[in-house]
Amino acid sequence: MHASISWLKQWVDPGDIEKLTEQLTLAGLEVTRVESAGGLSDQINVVVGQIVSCVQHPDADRLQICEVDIGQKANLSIICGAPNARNGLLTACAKVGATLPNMHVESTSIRGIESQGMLCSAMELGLDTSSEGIIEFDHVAPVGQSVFEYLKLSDSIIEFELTPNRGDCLSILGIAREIAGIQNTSIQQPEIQPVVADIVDVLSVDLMAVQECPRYVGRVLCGVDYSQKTPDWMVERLRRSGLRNINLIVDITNYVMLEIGQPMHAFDLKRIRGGIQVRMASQDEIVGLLDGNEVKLDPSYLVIADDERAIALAGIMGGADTAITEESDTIFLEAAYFSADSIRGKARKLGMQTDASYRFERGVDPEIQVTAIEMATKLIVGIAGGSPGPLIEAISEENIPKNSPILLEPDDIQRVLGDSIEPIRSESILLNLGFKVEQQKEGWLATAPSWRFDIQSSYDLVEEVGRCFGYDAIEPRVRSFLSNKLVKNETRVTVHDIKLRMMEIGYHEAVTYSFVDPTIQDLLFSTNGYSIPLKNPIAENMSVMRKSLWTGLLEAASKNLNRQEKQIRLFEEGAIFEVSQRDCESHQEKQMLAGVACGTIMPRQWASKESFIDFFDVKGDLNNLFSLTRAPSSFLFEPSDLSIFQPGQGADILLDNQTIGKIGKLHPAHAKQLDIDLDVFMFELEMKYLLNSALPQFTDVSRFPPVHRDLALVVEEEIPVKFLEDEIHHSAGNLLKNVILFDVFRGKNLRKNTKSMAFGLTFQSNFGNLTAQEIDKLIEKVLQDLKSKMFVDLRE
Amino acid sequence: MSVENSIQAIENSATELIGRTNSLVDLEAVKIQYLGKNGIVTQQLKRISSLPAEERKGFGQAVNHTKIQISERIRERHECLEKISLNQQFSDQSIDVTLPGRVKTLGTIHPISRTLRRMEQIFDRLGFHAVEGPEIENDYYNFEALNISANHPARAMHDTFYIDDHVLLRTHTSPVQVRFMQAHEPPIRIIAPGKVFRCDSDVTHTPMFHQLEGLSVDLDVTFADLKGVIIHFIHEFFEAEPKVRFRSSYFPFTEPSAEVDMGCVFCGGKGCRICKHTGWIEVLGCGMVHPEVLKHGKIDPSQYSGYAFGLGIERFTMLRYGVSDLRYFFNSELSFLRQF
Repeated sequence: MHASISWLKQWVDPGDIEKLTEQLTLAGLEVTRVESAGGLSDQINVVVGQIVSCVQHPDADRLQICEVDIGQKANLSIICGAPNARNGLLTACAKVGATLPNMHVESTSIRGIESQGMLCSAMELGLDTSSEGIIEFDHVAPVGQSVFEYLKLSDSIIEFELTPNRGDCLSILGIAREIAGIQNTSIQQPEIQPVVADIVDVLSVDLMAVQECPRYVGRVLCGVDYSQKTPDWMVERLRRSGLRNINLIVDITNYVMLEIGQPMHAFDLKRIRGGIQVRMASQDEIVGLLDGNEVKLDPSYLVIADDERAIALAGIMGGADTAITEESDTIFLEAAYFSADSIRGKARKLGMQTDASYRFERGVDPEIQVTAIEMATKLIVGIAGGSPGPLIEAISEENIPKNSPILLEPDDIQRVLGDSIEPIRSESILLNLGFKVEQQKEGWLATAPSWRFDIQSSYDLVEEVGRCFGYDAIEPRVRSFLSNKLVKNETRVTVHDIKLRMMEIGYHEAVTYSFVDPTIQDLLFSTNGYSIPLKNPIAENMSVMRKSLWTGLLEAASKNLNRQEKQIRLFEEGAIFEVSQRDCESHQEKQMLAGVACGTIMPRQWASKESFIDFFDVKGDLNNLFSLTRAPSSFLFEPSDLSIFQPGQGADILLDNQTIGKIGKLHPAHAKQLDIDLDVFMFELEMKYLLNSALPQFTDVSRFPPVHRDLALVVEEEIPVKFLEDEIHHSAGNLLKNVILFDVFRGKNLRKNTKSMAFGLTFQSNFGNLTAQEIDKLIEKVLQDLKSKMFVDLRE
Repeated sequence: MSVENSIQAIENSATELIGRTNSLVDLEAVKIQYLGKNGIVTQQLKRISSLPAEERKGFGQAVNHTKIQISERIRERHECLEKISLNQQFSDQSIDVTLPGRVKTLGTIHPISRTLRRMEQIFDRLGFHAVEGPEIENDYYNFEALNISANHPARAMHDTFYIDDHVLLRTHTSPVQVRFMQAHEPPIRIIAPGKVFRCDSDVTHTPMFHQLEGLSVDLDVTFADLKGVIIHFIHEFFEAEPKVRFRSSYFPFTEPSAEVDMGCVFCGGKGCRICKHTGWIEVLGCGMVHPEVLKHGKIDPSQYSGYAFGLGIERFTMLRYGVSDLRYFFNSELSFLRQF
């Protein structure tokens, strides 16, 4: 919304502009920009000139030598290439020395003939972004007057960004009312005299959808001289509001809309067959619109129709069939009230937005249609002549929205704002905003004006008073609240604790999009249920909800490798979305923690050899992570045949017999498709299993020395070390404090399909020194047990 | 040559030999040469028995003295040689202390997490608990319960990603308000951070971003309290005290509603590129919880009142660390992540 200050001044005194813009902004009408009215700043050397003769330039086909009267003794001789330069034309003449927005005018000679200035186009004057030919002024333009003065360019334009509840401010009148409310003054309401009818022509109007359109006002105008030019002052006001001039009738209807907020339409009466019906569209009814498009409607759309067919899309756009053309001389003017509900969303559904739909969607004053018709009639008749018919008004009184009185108790303001405002100030704010205010025993009974649709309760009244009074004036209150409970139990592991640990063990946190590329997701999780698709994705590669954090992280890893990163460890925390069938209502949202790692283990440096990450580096990382929650030995790893992993290098991770996550090496085929030529290791864990730890429990510290023994065992290849460890513990009993696997060996000295595993065992008692015999006996037992259960031998 | 003289000569020659030794091995050889079983001094001691009785005492004392002296010299030399050897060892083992240390890689925490953590700490001290809500929402919680009806123009402001007609990706964190109110009695003081989604993507918009919602519902909660909390938060977060202004605005779920601007922390309000030369930076939206929203939360608006606010975490992060482009947050480039 743009508002010209000079136009506003017709309604209210805006006072100091800088102060005004701040007040409006704080009161909820955000001023985004204030700019000067036109690009032309030269107030003296660009004047209204009249071409008094035109002669063809002897050496240039397209140039004319124009003699221009600028109200001084001597006329100027100016060379001009504009096709519309003609005898009698009033235009803008820049004298030698004039400064135009993009140039300085100097005396020049064009093909041997001197030019004493320049005739200007609207673009050259900074009044338009493009133009054909030189500007054409009204015949009343005073020759010799500066153009700056003639067009009243000493004006500012305020640009607003309005919130959707303030449709009432989409006009000069609306802004003026706000200024009055804030500045504690009132607006000068111009008196509108009804136009007296010259002819008796009327058109029947049948309201067939009274809820959607309870008021329809119109008028027939005959003998309108459609060829008349829109006056310069009106073109200027339209321009300063962001509209270009189109033709006189359209310009006038736009002008009225800009001034008082009522969108209007003009039909060519001769093309209307029979009377007007305001009705819902029938299924698949087609209307050809002014912009050349045809739209197919359904019964949720309101249309203006004649006896035979829809002739306009109500509140959005007129139809092509009944549009005014150069042959039209009889018009039918329309100003209707369409309810916001009937227009909302409709234009958007058709992929359009018009000045009319924008206003109707936000609510147009239901009491202003007659005023609009009278104003437009007066302007048309004044400029283009013609004979007006009587005012036509079809109305369904009971369907016109009415604001009910709302009780505002003096305490309400204090109760919501926490600060008191003088009652007299509160009352005058409401009055200046157009409310009817009645003093009652309990407080005020306030009725919102017809143009406000956003006032339903006393809270809305408090807001009106508060915003005009200014929230800055309310004294802030700071109260501190002791939390009822300690924020965090000691055993609670927070997500932040986990992130810190991930950071400590070398992982960088990434945040990737929750929607991913279905091709990549399907590639990685082909066998793993459905994905949830978005109905309106922003791009194909962001069109399904992720069902693992890996999708985003692997893409990130690939991207970083392409940027020549050598050491990649990334982690992410966030939700994944699982669904068992094609039924999105039953989806599950799970909070996960995932990581991917590839490249070198350590950063490149002189002090350590470069080597590449493998499964056990990442498993070790998880060990360090798990220690936040429980003893890492509580987390079990079982082989997994998930297809995303390279066969034989994947595992499920279990805690208390529950699968809480997985770890493995990305299948090389997948890696290749993701453009990764390194081994990638990755894990994903469900966060909730990591968030509870236990308080540390003290156990007595032994004062007796530990005894260490090493055992090198030859075992069948397929026996997992975990089983061996468990068996050793089980067999040795509780004097065995610790078992460490310190070497794994495969080689020619060993039987085929066997491996040698070296364990370091630590024995210790809390009650006395252990003797060599005691230890020997235990070792003997361990070996016996292992041998009998698992084909294990002591290595020779 | 008298006996004394000859013994003195032994001592002298031993002392000289000891002084010339360069290693512990040489020194040991000298020790054996003089003090060993068949050493020179030992030989002299053996002579005592063959001497006349009256000479024995004097000779014995002299030889013993010499033995003690030589032992002492050897001990001194031993100490000295050890020291030299140790010094040599140290010198051999000396290192260039300016060589880089052996480093493991440390990771980093994403700047959004870092900002969020800071916000949680500030609000924690004000008695606000952090809670969460689902990212896939239904239109009841995302819109209707927040007083945004089906055709409300505010829906157009939220470019919503739909999954089906009534299921969508939440466009703001505000749905958590009603979910929490339905499940809890006042007093309520919560913040709800999380991801939100809008189908919009350009230089200043990403289709996913993060918000932090705040809600306080209690007896006697007013706009003055809201102002108090917001101003305190902004001052704490930026560790500065910029001016803060409350500008009337419109949100369907608050009444009255306000946008909050703070004086530009980069130019001190004089006007710069960051504040688009206005001197003000818009940082959050807030207001008093709309009575309809309280009702949806099963809370009686005639008894309780509340305020709510919502802010963009990326925006605060960009302002705090000077990040110039929103899209950095989601492109997972290590060269960006390593900076935090």
